[in-house]
Amino acid sequence: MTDPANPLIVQADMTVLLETASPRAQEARAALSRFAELLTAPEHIHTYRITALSLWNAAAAGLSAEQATTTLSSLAKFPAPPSVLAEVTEQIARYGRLRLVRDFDSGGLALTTDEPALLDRLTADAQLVDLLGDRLDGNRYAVRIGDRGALKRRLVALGWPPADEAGYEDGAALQLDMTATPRPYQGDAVSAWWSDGSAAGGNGVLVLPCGAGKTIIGLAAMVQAGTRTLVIATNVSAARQWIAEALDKTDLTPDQVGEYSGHRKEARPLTVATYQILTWRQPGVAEDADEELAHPHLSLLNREPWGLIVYDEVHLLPAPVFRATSRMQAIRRLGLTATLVREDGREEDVFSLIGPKRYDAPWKELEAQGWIAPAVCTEVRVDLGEDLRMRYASAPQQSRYRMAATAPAKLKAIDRIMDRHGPTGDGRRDRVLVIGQYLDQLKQVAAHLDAPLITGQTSQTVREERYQQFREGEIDVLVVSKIANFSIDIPEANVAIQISGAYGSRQEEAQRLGRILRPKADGGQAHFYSVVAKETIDATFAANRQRFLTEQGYTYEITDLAAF
Amino acid sequence: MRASSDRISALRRMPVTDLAALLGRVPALAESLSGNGPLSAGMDGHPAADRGERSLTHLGILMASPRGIVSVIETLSRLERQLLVLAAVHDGEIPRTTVVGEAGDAREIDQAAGALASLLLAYPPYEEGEWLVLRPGVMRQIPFPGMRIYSALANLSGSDLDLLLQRLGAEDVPYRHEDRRRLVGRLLRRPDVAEAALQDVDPDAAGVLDLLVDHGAQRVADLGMKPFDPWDRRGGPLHTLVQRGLAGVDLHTQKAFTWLDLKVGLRGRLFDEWPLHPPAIEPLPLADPGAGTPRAIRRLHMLLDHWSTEPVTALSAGGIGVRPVRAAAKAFGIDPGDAGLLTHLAVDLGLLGETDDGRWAPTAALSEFAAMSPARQWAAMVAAWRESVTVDEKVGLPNRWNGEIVWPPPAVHRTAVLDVLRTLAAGTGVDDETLAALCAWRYPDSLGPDGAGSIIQAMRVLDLVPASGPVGLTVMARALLEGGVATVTQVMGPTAEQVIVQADHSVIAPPGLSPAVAQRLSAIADLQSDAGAQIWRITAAKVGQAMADGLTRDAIVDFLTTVSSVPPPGNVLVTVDDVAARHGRLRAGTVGSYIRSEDPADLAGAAAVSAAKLRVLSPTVAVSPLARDTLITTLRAKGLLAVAEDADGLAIPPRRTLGTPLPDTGIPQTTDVTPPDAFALAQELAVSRDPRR
Repeated sequence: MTDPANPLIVQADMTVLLETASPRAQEARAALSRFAELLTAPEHIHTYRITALSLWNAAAAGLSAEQATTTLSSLAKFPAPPSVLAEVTEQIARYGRLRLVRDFDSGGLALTTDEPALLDRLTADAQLVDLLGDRLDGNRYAVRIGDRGALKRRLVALGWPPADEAGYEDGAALQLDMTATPRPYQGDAVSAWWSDGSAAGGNGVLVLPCGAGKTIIGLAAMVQAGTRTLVIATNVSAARQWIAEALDKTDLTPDQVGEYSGHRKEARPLTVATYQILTWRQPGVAEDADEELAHPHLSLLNREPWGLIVYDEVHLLPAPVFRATSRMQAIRRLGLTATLVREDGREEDVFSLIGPKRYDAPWKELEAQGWIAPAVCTEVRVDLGEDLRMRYASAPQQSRYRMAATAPAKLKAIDRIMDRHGPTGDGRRDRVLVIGQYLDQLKQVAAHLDAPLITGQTSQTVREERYQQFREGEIDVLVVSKIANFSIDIPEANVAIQISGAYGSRQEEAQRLGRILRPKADGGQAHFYSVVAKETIDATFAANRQRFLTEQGYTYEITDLAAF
Repeated sequence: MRASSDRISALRRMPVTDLAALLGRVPALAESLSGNGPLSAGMDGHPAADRGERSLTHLGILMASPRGIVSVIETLSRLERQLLVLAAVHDGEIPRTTVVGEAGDAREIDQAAGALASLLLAYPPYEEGEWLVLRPGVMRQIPFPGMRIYSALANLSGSDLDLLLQRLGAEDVPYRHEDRRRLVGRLLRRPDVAEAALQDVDPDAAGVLDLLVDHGAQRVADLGMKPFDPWDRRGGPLHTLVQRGLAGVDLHTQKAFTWLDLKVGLRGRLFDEWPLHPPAIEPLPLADPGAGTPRAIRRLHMLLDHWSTEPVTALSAGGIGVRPVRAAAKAFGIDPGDAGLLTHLAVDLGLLGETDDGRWAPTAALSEFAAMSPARQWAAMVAAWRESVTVDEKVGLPNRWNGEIVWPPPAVHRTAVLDVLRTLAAGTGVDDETLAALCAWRYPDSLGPDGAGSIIQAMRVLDLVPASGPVGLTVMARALLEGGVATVTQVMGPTAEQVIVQADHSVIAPPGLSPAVAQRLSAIADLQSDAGAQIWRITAAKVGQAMADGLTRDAIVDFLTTVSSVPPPGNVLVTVDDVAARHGRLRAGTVGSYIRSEDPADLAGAAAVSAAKLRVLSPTVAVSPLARDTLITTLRAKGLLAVAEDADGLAIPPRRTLGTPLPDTGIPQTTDVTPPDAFALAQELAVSRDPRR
């Protein structure tokens, strides 16, 4: 029954607005998240989008059309458009009319349905026909095992998602258990992904803020699957953190955990590899050479009897790994990320190859529950200075960003921020990360602050040493390049100063904030500073970078250096 | 019997329920009896019918008038229309067996014949002898799908007519010219005579005749022949056919055709198909955004606001050209046809008029219009569209305004589509093709698929149907058509005056946002979603444009603070402040097309813009060969917010000019479009029956 006090506005374009101040907002959020994707969650009105994919996933998880339409109708302020209700009903009804099953006669797979006419209609599509084998009978087509991913992808594109009942290969068993207790939301996330072990679950992406413990979730997923697992991380530091966490939070022993990187090539029951090593290209191989010849380490994916593959920071998944994943649909897979914003716009590929978004925890919600540190975001604006302003004004467009981003005036801002976060009377010290894009600038800042610097050129040993010193409090300030954007666990950091970045990257801003969101032992706040040059392209990019976080409910205080 | 007496007698014998059904089916009659319909006083010379003269006599006179008959014919379904035409081709009376021979023996043809009788186009079956006999005056108004030989022979001399009859084997030749013409038609409709005539010509001519019979009129060139010259002694297949009275050629258009009678004779049927039912409807759910302020109002105001600051230069012929309409459409991200339609409505409503210096600008009537409630504004727009005589949807939506009157008036087509849509269940619609097919069934010659398509597009612009997806009346449209402005006001609910401004620069406005707030919001924010509630996004570019249009920083902040139900986030206000800080620091003037700035850095930045063609004269002044406005536009395109200044160095505020409305334009007095209650009117007419007559 519609009621102006209800929290939802159902739009004819399949978006749903949720008013957070409504008394029924929590109820609406819980019900809506089963079949709609959260797009933005700023402070007052959250926006969800109902897509065919979100409805099919909901149907796979057992949601009925009536439940979905009742949610929309009963929680809406105004009558829901009939087309939306009809679309919800139609799409949910589509799921499962095609099924992908094992064909025990041939040992392969079969696409089957109770409606032969539907098969006739779909086989008018030439691309689909290429992925189908012989027609076994009126209701079934043979499918090659290797085409499972591609077939599902094509059927999804045609609007007829198959219920994948072919199941997974269990992989070699691996007995392990957690030695730490996952938080409630971490348990919920794993349950949403696992779906009681059904064929409908066991794949998909979990989206949680940085610092929310995605590694723990990955380990809990391994415990749930109880099988040999391959984790793919962004870089060696991240891989080693995974290994450390696995040894710390599970009962695995060091001989059961291996690193597969440029430094070591260990394949063990739990192996952590890096994207770099998997996509490493054999020198001298022709451009059009076979993928496995060009990227020899990709064979790791099917060399071992993996039962689960975990993709850390799945939004960075490189194309060769994407393609390899398409051929491995029989292995359970889990994607982890803080932002499903891919700067290359390939979010859909993540959905179709890794799986749908299974769980999404709004940042502010976890902050309110105390699972991530509350953060204050501040944009500090500096003037370019008279001389630089003139040069900037007449500089070519392409060199303006660098000129503005590396403005010397930013040093003054760093000093002021350091003053604010310097040693206090009670002996408490803030731990500061200075993050930037340009090496010259970072070197200058490191020299100015007399702080150690970590960049891509820093050796792995030195990196680990410096991170460790920072964690143990031997150093308070660390100057880092973009290599620290991802998967670096330095929970002690509580202040981040961003002095330059990759243009207007929203995802980078969120990741950098994430470095300081690990909950603090004293419950203290995190401070995120973005130093930008006023009235330049730097400020324009800064506004764009902030969009993801403002959509997550963060607000930026914007201040001039003079007033800071 | 006179045509009117015939109808008056029939009406007097008609039960009230039938009378009500007749008036309900032909709203033009009911509306005209109420004094505001298309058949009202002064048209076609028939007697005036005002509220004081509502009687069966007047109704009979109306129905006997040519326009009255045409109005009734326009309401016929395709089956009824075909039956009427078939009867007319058979000289106004036709036995049932002939119809059954062509259409098959179906209950529906008897129902169609009954409908023609109840609409007083024909007599009740067998009342005049035959199964179907048309009433006086009907034959002349029938839209034939070709030419009858009867009409073609009107100017033929008596001796030539005799010769033709003789060739066709006529025996008893009547005396009167028209009877002889009818006899020719009757003979040609006989299969033996038609076949004999065909056999009598050479194979080439027979081939051409076959083609004309099967495919209707053809251009002579398309038949592979030279332009037809009746005096050409060399002759040819067409000459043969024309000389034997089997075909004709329109010398002006060079189109050859044969007679409907001959088609009946040769093919045994006049129509290839006799659809007995309307097309099947598969109702589809509507993407109806629901009750709320129609976006058409906002768009109209945006358009007028745009032209108040930049009046349109009139064409030399006096109209509004394609360029300004397209430019406005581009500025608002809408289709040029949509902008063109809104332009026509603005002119028709008297909101846009010509200025003394030959330009087009909003008129003083705009303030009166804006003061009306959103429901009334929308109803006025819809009424203006329904009555518009300058928009011809058959050729698509307009992208300019030249004031040319469309004839015949297209209002009937719009009404036809709306009538068809009203028959669909609430909340449902059909696809475009089905609607076109339904219209073709319901109003066979009023609308082709193209015409229906453009009318649908116009209705989408006016929010009578949803902006996309299946076509069906929106909640608001149904309220307007069935209950008038009062119901729309009720459905729309109170106008929302508050929005929510968020830190991600989004602004969420509930459905039913006041047009005034929406208009002010549109100055500083881009509309991102309008599918019920509206989602806007404040951008620096829009704020910059708003300031260029004369808004100040304080006015914008004031507006946001007042209109937002929560305090506007600080970073949003900073965006406004940032733009305000940059706005106007560069100033351009017309004198020598210069730019100047207090800040040499700003000027250097401007000088780096090659398209501005600036030459720096001093650190704070540069000149350009470009005209001032072009210069400002060029700099703005590069993000440099230059403003125009006068000779005293003061920023020139944007101009607002008032135009004068055209004669015979203005907001309609009556914007309610609900038809009169047919049953009440029928009862009133029945009571007024004069028992002495």
